[in-house]
Amino acid sequence: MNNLYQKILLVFKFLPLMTYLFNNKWKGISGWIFYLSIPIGMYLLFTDSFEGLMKIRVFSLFSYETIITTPQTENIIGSKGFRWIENGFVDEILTFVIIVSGIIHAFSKEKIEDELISKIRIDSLVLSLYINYGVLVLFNFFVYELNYIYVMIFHLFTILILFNLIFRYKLYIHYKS
Amino acid sequence: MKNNIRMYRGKFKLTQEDLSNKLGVSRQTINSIENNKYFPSLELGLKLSQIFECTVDDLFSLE
Repeated sequence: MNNLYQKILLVFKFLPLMTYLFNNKWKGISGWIFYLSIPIGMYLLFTDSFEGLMKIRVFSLFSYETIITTPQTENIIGSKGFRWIENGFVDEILTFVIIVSGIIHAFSKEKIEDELISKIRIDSLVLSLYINYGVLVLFNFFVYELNYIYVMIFHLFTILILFNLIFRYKLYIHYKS
Repeated sequence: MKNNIRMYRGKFKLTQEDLSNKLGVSRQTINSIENNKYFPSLELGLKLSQIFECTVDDLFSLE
């Protein structure tokens, strides 16, 4: 027990020294996957092709079920909590691929990862966060009803896209100097 | 903050590439430091003073 306690202490001691960055070898492949999967996802979203593709039974933690669907009472829905449902699984896979590849691409080390690169990374992260939430605040006042779902869907990925674009642009300027 | 790194680099006949290899940073970082676009950390400042055999005060000063 004492040995385990010492090991846990050791992990916390070295935690601030870790870089939390991925190896440089993942940068290229994750970038290709990230920038290719975004247009595929946008095409499928705008053409409403998600639902029909790869329909399988999935376990849903929280889902609604329509109880009465007459023209007069079509809005009455009831919750059945967690249960098995039929669902097109492509959007879930694409969301996973875009987020994971985006994070790996954004947080992979450069070939020479020095302190100036770290500063550029932090500056880009702050700027992308400001732009991301600035745009969300604007859309909050100008997009209403069900269309707001599109804003929420885009908002899942915009910070990653913005950060990657700003960081790559700043790196381009840095390497050009 | 101003620095004399370019002067010391000339004195020791080192190129930006040579200095960056000794410090383990990129050549562009040395360029940014020399042009006052980036102020290095204390660790990098101490490494520079070690390479140029001088004090940190000789390399960096407040304007």
